[in-house]
Amino acid sequence: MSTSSTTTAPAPARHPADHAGWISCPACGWLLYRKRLDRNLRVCPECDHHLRLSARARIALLVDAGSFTESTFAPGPRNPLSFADLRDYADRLQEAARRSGESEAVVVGTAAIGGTGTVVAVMDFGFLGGSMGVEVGRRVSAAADLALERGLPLVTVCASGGARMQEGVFSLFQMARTSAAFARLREAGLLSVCVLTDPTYGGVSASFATLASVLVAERGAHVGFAGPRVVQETIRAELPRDFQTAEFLLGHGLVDRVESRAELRPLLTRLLALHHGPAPTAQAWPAPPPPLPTPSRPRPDLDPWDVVQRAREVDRPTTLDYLRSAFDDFVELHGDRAFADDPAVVGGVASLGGRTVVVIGHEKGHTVRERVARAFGMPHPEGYRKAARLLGHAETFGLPVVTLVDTPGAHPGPEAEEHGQSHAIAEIIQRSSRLRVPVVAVVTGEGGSGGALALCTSDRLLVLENAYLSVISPEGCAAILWRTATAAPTAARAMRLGAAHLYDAGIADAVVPEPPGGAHTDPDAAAQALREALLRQLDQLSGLDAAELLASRARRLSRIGGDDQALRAVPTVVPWES
Amino acid sequence: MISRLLIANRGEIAVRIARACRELGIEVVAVHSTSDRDSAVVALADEAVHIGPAAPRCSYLHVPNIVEAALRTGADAVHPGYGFLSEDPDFAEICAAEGLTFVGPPPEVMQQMGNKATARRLMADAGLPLLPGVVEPVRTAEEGRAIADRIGYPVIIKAVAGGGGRGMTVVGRSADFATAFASTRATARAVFRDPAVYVERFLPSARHVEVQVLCDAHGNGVFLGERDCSLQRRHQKLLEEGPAGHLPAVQRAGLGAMAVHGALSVGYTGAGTMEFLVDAAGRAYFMEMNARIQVEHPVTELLTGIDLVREQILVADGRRLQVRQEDVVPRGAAIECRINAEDPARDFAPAPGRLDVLQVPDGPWTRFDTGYRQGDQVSPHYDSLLGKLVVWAPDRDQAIRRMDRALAELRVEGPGLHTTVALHRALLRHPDVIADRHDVQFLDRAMPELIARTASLAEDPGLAVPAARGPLQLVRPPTPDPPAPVRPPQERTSPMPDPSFTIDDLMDLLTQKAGLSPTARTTDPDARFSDIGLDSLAFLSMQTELQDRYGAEMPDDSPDRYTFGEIVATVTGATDSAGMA
Repeated sequence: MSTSSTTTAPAPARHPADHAGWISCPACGWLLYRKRLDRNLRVCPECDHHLRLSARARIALLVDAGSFTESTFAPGPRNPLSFADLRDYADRLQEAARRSGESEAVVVGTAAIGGTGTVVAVMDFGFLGGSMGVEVGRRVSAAADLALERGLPLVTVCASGGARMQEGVFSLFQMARTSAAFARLREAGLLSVCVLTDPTYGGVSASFATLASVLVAERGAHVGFAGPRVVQETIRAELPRDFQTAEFLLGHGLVDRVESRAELRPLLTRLLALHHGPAPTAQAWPAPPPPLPTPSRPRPDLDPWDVVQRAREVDRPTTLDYLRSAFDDFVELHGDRAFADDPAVVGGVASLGGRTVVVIGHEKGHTVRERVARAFGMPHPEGYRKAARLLGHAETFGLPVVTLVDTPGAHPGPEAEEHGQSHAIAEIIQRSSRLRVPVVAVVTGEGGSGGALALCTSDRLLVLENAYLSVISPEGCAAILWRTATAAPTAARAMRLGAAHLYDAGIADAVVPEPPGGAHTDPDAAAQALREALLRQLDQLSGLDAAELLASRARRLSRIGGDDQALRAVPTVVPWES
Repeated sequence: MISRLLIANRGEIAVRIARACRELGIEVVAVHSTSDRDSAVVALADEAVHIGPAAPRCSYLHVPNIVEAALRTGADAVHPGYGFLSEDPDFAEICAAEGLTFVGPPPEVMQQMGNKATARRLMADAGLPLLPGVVEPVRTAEEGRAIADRIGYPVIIKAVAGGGGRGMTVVGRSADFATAFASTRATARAVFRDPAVYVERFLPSARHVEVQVLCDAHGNGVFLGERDCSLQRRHQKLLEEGPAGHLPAVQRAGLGAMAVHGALSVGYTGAGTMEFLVDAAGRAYFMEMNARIQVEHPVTELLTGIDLVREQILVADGRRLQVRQEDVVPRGAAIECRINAEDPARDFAPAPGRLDVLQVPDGPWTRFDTGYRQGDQVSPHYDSLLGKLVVWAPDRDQAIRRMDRALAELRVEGPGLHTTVALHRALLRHPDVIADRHDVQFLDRAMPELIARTASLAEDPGLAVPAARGPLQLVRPPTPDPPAPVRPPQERTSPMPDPSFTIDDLMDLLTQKAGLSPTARTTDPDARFSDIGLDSLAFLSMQTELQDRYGAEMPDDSPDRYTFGEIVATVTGATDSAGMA
């Protein structure tokens, strides 16, 4: 049931006031002047309802004017089952073609979006409810193959009730065909973006529509597997108001972003430029800054307890602050694609001095409201799974990774345990230890235990002057060993918290200087220092291939806590030369 | 020939337009929201149509209802006033499509002037001087900073779709540009749903001078002198005056000629205003054009003796301008004070309420334009303009003294009501204003000082001449009347109870007042409006009638909510309770 669609698009209820100049909003009933509605991209100015668009209108909305070249397809067999319900399927196809002006429920071609060449495949709900039969499957796969052949990204706009009933099991297998085509695209490191519009269901949502590297849902769109009526009739339960809306999907970590219609083209432009933009040239971007005059050695006079307090300062810049100030552009990607979007971890694709990087970091927020919403920067397993998925994104597209570490620790709580906190942390440590792209980790504030280490497995570890990594919070340590939390300052000193110790112990490769008094006293200067440090490290790492990276990362991890010689001095087998 | 004109507005401007129509012999159709059902313009109009609930988007901004009201009442023209739909090209276009004469410029011209970037480009093409800056929207912070560096600081970043003082930021140095750019775009997106911004030179001590122009559809145009509107609080004008006495007469005439040339170059028709900024050296720069009648138009009327609304209607009707440039001779000085229901002490928060006392000043060359009468309620749904006090005198000094006298006479009282009256009096006492050396930032700078001054003036609202020994009594003083609200006598009879109201009566009422066809009558108490082919406009007409005749109304303005049985029950129920009380 759920993978099929009705044979015709539900006829929109015609409001008596509908005539050439006016249209009634299907959501709020407000009478709208058609020209104004068109100017507003067919979004109701009263209730923000996004009215459905035809494939051609979508293309006009998204691609650079005049850049679209449609791909043509030789006609294939159209009625494999010789299907007839109340009417002949062949008749229905003809009728759909006449009404929509399209030959099938998807239009494929090449175009430019914000100057970046791309293949586009846009579905038309007006053609038999956008249902996927053999021809739709063929065209969508052909679009992926065309992208593969030309080395272009693929932008797909989905609108579909699901697989087409009239082509029976042949329709069903288009799910596999299109999924495989999208997999080839990913293997080739080519970006695919799916724009999920109202509605996307069944066999389409359960195949290519949710397999793109980046999933963007249009505001208010309904996207799901089984339609709400089917769900309601099966389980007989009241569904939440926002059930299966774009916002619901975002909240459950299932899409990267939700955008209003007007924001779609700007977003696609940025995403395509970040992944497929022209390679940076020496002319286009300023040369990397000269090495800082400030020594990258820490100031030895910093008291560990002062460091702890500055690291926890409410106004200390957070990951999102640095993403705005130290990076040139940033597109946040949300969700673990499985269960939730953890606001304690933020990540996405950013641009830094002409280089595209994937950035992942803890996010604490500043105000009380923000801090509560972001659980004070303490991630749940979903946060680490989001991070792990973004590491995969980086590897797919060969983008270096920057992590920004600032957390009191992983979230301690029953849900976190139920959802597998330990495994989630272990998994991301392991994933980053073998990632085939450079990883630079920066401890920007608190580095609380395993929750922080999850983002610290890297080729380079930088630490801000007033940041630290610790096995336990100084308060926790004091409570256990000194039997009173008030001994926290003493504990902090005993654990040697701070950049100096990390640097001296060879764990941190460099110390990022902060303005006197701490990063919060001059966030812009702090951001500038971080930017320069990152550019330097990324520059050094950019020459290394994956094998060299993996080997040196492994060497680096073995060295920590005593060099290789010390380890070798405790042999388990007698070396033959002795 | 316009013979019946619908006023798509409310308040003082609706009354102003109705008066001009009366004098021209044009019948007036007023439209009103639920909360304005007893307003002054409704009483003045030949016919009034209830077009929706108080919220403007459902009434004064709701085009379908307004157009339908015009068509049903047989109006042949629509005057949009200012605000609301006055600068909505779609509305002008819809009116034209429905065969209604729109009192204003053609929709295309309105569209062009409404987009500041387009307006500036067109005026630059017409040879008008523009501030150094860009005309097209700036896309990125880097691009904007490059432009700002080129034109020199300070610069101002403004939302293309902006207005009302929102969506603009002054930037003093290059380092602050990026932050200001991002925040202005964010504001513009949030407030105007359009993040586009542009950048231009910011003039630190400039005057706002605007030229009133009047153009017909035959390519003729005149300018009617200028107004100085430099006394603005966060870009909201508070006090306007004319002429701009700080400019030499020859320069003012030059500015006027330039304004007419600019307006005619884009095919402008009707009354319009070209706004200029004039810097300390007297150089004028075109800012924007307002394609409508403006709040402060009476200043020009008093200076020139020309009825702007009348002329506006006549040119909309296709007449040639009867006024030639040489007929326009501004004389003396005029000042307008906007009397707003706002509390200056609480950052000009709207302070609406019931007008228990409204005593309007009088005397030589003193005019008070208002849409309110004593006893009316100032609604929180609309702008806070209570009225406009305008005076004329042979010179500016006399005009200031006359205004102060008139402000002292004006009495506005009511629970919770605050006004800007005392603030205006404080303003007119400020040495910089008296010396005419204030600039557009003056009010924002001097506000704390003025507010302090206002407090002392408000405590003693009377005239500065105290009666030292009390009033002299030659006869026994009359017992004072209670401050009962005074209302002009209404033609309508007061609501009468009718316990025998039936569904047949309701059908009669709908036939008379809502255009129900006799064949569509029903006796079914479970039928609804839609069953007999009536719409929400008919429902509102019924609401008005029920209120007037029986003192009853349905709680909700939605026609589909009620069956006829329920409506009849409400009328008889309301009548019962009224009878018992």
